[in-house]
Amino acid sequence: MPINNFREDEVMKEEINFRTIGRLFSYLKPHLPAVVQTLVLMAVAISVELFNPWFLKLGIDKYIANGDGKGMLILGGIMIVLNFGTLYCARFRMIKMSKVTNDILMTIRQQLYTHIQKLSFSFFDSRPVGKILARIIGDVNALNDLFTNSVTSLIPEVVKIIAAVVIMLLMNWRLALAALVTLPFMVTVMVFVSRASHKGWQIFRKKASNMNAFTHEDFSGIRVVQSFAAEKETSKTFWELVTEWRKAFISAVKFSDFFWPSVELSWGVGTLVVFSYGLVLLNTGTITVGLLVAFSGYIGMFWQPVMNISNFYNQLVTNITGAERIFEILDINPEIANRNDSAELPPIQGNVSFKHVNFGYEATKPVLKDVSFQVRAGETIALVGPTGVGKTTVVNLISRFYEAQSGEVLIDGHDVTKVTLESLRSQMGIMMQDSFLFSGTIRDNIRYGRLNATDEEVEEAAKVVQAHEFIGKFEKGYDTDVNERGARLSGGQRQLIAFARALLANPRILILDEATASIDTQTEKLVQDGIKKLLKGRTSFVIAHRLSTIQSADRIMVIENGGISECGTHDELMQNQGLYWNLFMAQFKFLHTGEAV
Amino acid sequence: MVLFLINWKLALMSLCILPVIAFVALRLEKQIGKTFEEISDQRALMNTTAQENLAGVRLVKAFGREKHEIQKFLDQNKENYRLNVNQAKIWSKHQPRIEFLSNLVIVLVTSIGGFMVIGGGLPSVGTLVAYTGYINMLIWPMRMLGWLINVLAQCLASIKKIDALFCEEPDIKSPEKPVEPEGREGHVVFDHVTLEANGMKILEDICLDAKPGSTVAIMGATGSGKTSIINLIGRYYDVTGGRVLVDGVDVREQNLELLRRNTSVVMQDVFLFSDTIEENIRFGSTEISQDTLVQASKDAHVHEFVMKLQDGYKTVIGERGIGLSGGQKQRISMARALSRNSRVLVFDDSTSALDMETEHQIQQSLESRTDETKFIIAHRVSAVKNADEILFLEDGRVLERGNHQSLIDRKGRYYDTYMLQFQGLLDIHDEEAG
Ligand SMILES: Nc1ncnc2c1ncn2[C@@H]1O[C@H](COP(=O)(O)OP(=O)(O)OP(=O)(O)O)[C@@H](O)[C@H]1O
Ligand SMILES: Nc1ncnc2c1ncn2[C@@H]1O[C@H](COP(=O)(O)OP(=O)(O)OP(=O)(O)O)[C@@H](O)[C@H]1O
Ligand SMILES: [Mg+2]
Ligand SMILES: [Mg+2]
Repeated sequence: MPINNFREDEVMKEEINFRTIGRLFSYLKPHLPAVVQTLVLMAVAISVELFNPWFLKLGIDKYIANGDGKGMLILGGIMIVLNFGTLYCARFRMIKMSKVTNDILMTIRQQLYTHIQKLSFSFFDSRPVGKILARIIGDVNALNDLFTNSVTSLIPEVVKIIAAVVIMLLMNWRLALAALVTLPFMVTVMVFVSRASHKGWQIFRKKASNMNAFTHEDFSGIRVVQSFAAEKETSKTFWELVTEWRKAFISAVKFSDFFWPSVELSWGVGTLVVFSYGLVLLNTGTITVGLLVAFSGYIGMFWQPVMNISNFYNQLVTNITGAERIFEILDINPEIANRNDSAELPPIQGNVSFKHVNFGYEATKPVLKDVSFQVRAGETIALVGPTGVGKTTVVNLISRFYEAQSGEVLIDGHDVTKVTLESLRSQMGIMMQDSFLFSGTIRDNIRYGRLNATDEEVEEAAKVVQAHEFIGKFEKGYDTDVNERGARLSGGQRQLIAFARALLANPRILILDEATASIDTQTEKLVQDGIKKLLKGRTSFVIAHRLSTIQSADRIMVIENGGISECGTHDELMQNQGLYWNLFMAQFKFLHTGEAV
Repeated sequence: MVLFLINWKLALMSLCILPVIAFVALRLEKQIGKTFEEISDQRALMNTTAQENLAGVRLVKAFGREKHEIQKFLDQNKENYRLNVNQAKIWSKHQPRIEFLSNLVIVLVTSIGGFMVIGGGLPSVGTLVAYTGYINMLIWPMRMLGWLINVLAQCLASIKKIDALFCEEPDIKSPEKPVEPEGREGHVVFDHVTLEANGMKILEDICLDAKPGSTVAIMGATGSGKTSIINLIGRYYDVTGGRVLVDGVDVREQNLELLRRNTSVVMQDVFLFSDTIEENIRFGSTEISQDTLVQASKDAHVHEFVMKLQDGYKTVIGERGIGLSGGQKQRISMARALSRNSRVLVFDDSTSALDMETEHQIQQSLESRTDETKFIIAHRVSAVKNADEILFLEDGRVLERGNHQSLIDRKGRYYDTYMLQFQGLLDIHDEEAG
């Protein structure tokens, strides 16, 4: 699976897909009544607007010229009332439409977010957070004006065009065709331009996404950047990304700028054609001068909306790329999901077994080869082995973060791929190798293990892992913000909080991946004593490199070369004199090198 | 002007309405500006929520908290909706008003002007028509005012944010006239250093003299101040008492960039970028030769596993090093530090995810580097025992110090840790001996 990073553009299909447009506008469907209301209100407002000049003319021509003061007053009154009415119409329409648009945006955004939550690890493995974020926020926002304009400009303009065309055809069909002769030209230009511009805007969005990915990463890793005094280099990279982004914008906008001139050109040429042809017709006496003059008026009535629509189309092309990027994600099926026949996993006893499991993150590179083992409920299993051998991978399979390519992972005899994810994971407590904390208070972070835990239970969990004491020393205690400036937690303290969180989940199966790697031996000993009682009757998997951490495990599994090479208690393995014994005795070497023996 | 020339009464009257329009526009500005600020804040919040969720997505899944997260986002999404509709409400309250008032001016001018024409106050209908034309010209910018204010208010809300960032002064800055040490050798001295933050004593009276090329190891309980000590060398915090000298010059008097370039830190929490392994090691620096890169990678035991990858050093890794095991990540960040040609090397708990064998090998390659002063924070005795000096911290103070043997002989905390870690081994040792 290729991993995308901030330097690389995402891969996307290039053509404009009308299905995308259709799919986008299907979001308007539930809002049909509001859309109709908006249209009616618009009709009212437009007619009043159209009447204003006419009233003016009427007032001047009829009343003032005739010196009719009373009529004038009445007319003025009517106008004020009408305009006052449109004021409310406009207000109502604007609110209505903004509700529709924002509601659609909210729906799309939520849909996207919900869908992303369902996607599997492999999806997140392959792309930077910043790029996913760019879709949830930026790409959705790009659709903002699209809906409003589609209703407030597209539909009325289409009506105007149709009306103009019909009138023109009725007046003189030959002249009408002459007027429209440049239309195919314009449409052709439009199609070509929109293709190029669509591609341009796609690139633009990709560049924006790259930039987002970079800033996101750069700020998360700002401490590393500072420690290598690499600010100059990173701002150079940022500048490069911004430049690319700006270039993409300019070249995309260049294409968009073709829209207007091509419409104006067609308009002008079209009018020219009508007059030339009209002159011919005039000479033959087919039409009157009055007709020609009126006709030219309707040409304007035709092209103005065409202009507006092409404008809208331009906007559509510009922003549809946002929709494409959204739909692309919505169309990804989670690799790991509940199946139709997934059953709830009943309360776990804690028997875990692997049967001939083969797994690799990429199919061609196996990490685990034909792994089989059985763990009885209540056992504490330690996984040891050199770094990068696949310890974390084994526990990843138990919690079904990834699925085995072949073989079965069973919990109490249930294949983990055949039970619902919620019922499986809600019964497990997993402490991952990198102890990630959310921003928020210490209390909230521990409580994440079980959302309905009381404060007492939270504190209880903290006490077990020896965190209560240091938390108590903070000014705000459990309400200390874990990321707050000036109150940074130490690495070990973070690990302990993550540990408490996993314990609070009250799991039937507990997975501790290097849970105490950054914790000093004395504290670790206390933690171990503390959780001993808790672990009774629960199955647990412990990964650790410090051999002293795992000596008391019920069984120790040594992983090597993609398989389990040894399994047994500390004493058994020591007697075996196999790999574990080697590992263990190797400590002598560490103890004695450099020392005068 | 033309207006007054034509008819001052009419002009005055139509001008009466203009301030009203301006007033409405101002009101709009005030209300909408506030909403835009709220929207901007809210968007930032929504962004943060989504970003945290994505960054911690593995955790979300591990606890099966997807529903909770979706709900959390929904709340913000709804709030975002509310604010946006609110903005639209304010906009739609004022914009049509401005529109109405503008139309009103024309209607009034026409009607009253009409009366005047009838009453003979105005010379002719033509004058009136011309007059309304001028009024239209005057009104048009007024109409645009609303739109303008809308856009401006939005920009203003953003500018305020940006401005606030610009105004932020870094606490720690390079001095105006930095003093450059005579030679960069990596001589680090702590002279009765204390560090306080938020009224909490983090370090107290730390003294230390790390000669160029020597190794200082720091041990101690969680939260005892180990990371805080080494943070002072690269001046990530300023001491509240005493001083830290690097190569004879107080770090506060040195050029910050040079100081930091000369200290390579491997942080406790490994951070890798979604880029190639090579770029992660080079980290923007073009001065590093290929040989140095490979040598550093070999020393950090990166080379062997990278060679097994299809694309070798060009392999792209995911954000935060996804796609690598915990130990592999740690080793890459070590290679990054080793490839710099700096005189001070700091390893903060950076072998915790390594097995003993690998750790041992890395240690040996470190020991063979005699040009650099090394600070090693570790919890395993095996990682610190060959250091020239070992500090054992407790609650921000040095509890015990000395080399391995002297600390063992002392039978204090270090000795306890040693016993805990090598219990089983020592039993065997005794058996064999006995
Ligand atoms: N998400 C992933 N995508 C692709 N490859 C991966 C992924 N995670 C791990 N690997 C690879 O799979 C192998 C096994 O990794 P794993 O994390 O299981 O090692 P580990 O035994 O836990 O090591 P450590 O002790 O260093 O944490 C490694 O070679 C690693 O590079
Ligand atoms: N900027 C700060 N403001 C307030 N308190 C801080 C700050 N930085 C660290 N602390 C506190 O100082 C203490 C020492 O932190 P430090 O990171 O040095 O511990 P450590 O010895 O490295 O621990 P660990 O082994 O867990 O990494 C901790 O209690 C921590 O919460
Ligand atoms: Mg691991
Ligand atoms: Mg630390």
